[in-house]
Amino acid sequence: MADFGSSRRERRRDAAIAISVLLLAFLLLFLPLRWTRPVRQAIRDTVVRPFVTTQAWVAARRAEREDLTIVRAQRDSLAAVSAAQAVLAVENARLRSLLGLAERAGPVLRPARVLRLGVAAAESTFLIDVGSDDGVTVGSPVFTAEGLVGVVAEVAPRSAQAIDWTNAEFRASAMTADGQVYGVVEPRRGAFRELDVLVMTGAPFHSDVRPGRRVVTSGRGGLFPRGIPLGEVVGIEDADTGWRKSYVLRPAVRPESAVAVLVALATGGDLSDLWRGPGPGLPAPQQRAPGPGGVPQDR
Amino acid sequence: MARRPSRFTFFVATLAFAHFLLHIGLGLGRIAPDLLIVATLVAARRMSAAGAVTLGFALGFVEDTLGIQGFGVRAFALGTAGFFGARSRSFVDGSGALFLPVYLFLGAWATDALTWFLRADAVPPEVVLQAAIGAAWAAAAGGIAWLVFRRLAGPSA
Repeated sequence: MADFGSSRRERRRDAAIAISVLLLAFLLLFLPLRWTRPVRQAIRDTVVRPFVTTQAWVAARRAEREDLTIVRAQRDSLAAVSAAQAVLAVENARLRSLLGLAERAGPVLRPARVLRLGVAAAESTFLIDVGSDDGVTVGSPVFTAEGLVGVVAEVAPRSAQAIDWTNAEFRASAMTADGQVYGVVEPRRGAFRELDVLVMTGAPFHSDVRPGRRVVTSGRGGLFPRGIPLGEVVGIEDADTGWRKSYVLRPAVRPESAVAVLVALATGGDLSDLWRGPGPGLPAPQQRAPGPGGVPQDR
Repeated sequence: MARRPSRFTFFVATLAFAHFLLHIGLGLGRIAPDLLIVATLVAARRMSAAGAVTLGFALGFVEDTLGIQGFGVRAFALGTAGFFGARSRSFVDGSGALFLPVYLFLGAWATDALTWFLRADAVPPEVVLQAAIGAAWAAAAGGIAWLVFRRLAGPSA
């Protein structure tokens, strides 16, 4: 130990080692993600694995006892979404064969359980218990019956790590449910994480989206399937004179409340039908009235 | 200084283990106090600067592997906390009853602020409040853990 009684030489050596380690830590900040991935995966599979396994066990016990009603409700909703998708897929296939159209591949949904790492470094991320062995890829959207939770960012054979919509890197091309206004949805940090909201930026300045209107993924860019609910407009965040408007959204789903999720195994596609009409997702618009040009509009 | 190192080492290791157990194992997340910074700061008062920096780096490194972005942020922040914690012996005696809570609070707050500074371009004002609450919680938990340790290991520990 280099303390008050230690020699000057020892103190210098101590300081030199300390500064070297700090320098090494500083250099880590600039390492490319792909270089750090094997190291991170190795430590997760060894040092951290017992804790993750413990959480999976605790989550399973908790699901059996305390949150039975909530978890059952979420699972039932997901089952309904999956069932609806299966029915629609069969119906679409039948209609396509009748019309002589070629088969179009749509996203396959896979149920998964959410695990949270719960440390500062893993803020705004979560683990799911399905991975590349199940067909999950980087970019696979993750959602619940209420709406989009996030997107897979890293995949291991039997698990994957996703960022949720509160992550600063999250972006989704979006539109109002009636397809009238398009923009890009991104997160805005609140005073506390529970107060984080979404904002649809880049909407045309002349657009007038009323509070209560649903915003869904637009499918542009081919990452998120079209039609997954993102939230409801609650007001205008700001408006650059003559250029664009940003709308604040009440998120369709709070990431911290997601226990059971669905993962779309392919990016792109269209899932609008899953949330159309009275179903398991967001409450459907009470009535759809024909808008300009006969396009149905949400009230 | 070096009395009963094994018990003290066990105490620091227990804090680190408890951190991962509470945050990951039990999935408590932000509800649980940040015991890694407590372990680093408490250990730093008895270690050389090199040892404290290495300990902070190692603990932070493990935590960094759990994230996707910002690899090395916690390792650097906890390493820095260890460095200044060890250096604090040169100008603060630390025998007063209030020293430990204040030391842990200021250390945890500064480390949180540094973490934020490294992660984001700007630190929103509300983060300062969040960090203060988190630091107070860590200081309280660390103070209690230290009292329990002293009671079990004896005042000479």
